[in-house]
Amino acid sequence: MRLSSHQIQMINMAVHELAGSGATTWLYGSRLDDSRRGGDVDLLVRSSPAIGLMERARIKNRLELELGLPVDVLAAAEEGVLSPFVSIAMSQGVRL
Amino acid sequence: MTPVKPQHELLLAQRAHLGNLLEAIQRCVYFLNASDASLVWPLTGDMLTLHKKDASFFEALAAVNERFSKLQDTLGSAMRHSLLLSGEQADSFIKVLAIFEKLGVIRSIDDWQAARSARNLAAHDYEIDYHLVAEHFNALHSLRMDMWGVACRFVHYCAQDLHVHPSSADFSNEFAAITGAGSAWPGTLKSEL
Repeated sequence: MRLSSHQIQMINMAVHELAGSGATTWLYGSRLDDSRRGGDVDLLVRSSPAIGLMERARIKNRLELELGLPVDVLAAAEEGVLSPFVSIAMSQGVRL
Repeated sequence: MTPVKPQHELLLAQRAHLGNLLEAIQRCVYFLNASDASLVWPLTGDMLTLHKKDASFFEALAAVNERFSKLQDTLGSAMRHSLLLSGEQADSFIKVLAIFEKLGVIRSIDDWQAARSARNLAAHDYEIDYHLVAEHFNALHSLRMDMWGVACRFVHYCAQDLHVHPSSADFSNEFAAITGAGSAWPGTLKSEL
């Protein structure tokens, strides 16, 4: 995984502050591949209920500022049926 | 080779360009309001499911997205350009926003940036979950009031501090009616305090 422990700490702190302490964060996409360089930080935030568009936007902005990297934030509810894309992200992703 | 314009001609051109941008802002407000008013708010997932093959309904939604983006981008360009006339220095857009936050034109840099990211996220999502699509557009619908406020205060700032007005008054009455400019001023500029 191409994120430092300090970066993971910053991500978890921002998600808990903006999406609630019960929210969980998963990293998926190219940042999991140690052989690659650069790329977005693709995050999936799961909470009950799922966070809305504005919360996603605020998490993205804060983390882009703090990490200095492009960040994409996907949201899904803890309960209910997962979309195929969220299922793929979770099956390949790592919980932070 | 294009001859170099004398300084006063350049200044006139910069003022004229800002006037054009102000007219464009008023036009964006007018058309965003028209698209927004053609829909029944708040949207629901059930409503979108019912209209899933209704091209005119989804064209109106696409227009809301596009016009919201156009308004915010035009405001951004105009704020950046106006600094050439006010003499303020900003080497990045975040500094432009900081200046207009200080002036009271935008409420906060965070809100401005969140609105920008929200509409980009909404534009790039490939959702077929109609409840999520509805939520995205409801967020833009709410944010448009913030944009009205920014547009209104910026046009007022240009008139008051820079003595620059929209190039034509074609959209001015509608702009005033939509944003409440003049009659119900949405806020006081910090430069007036």
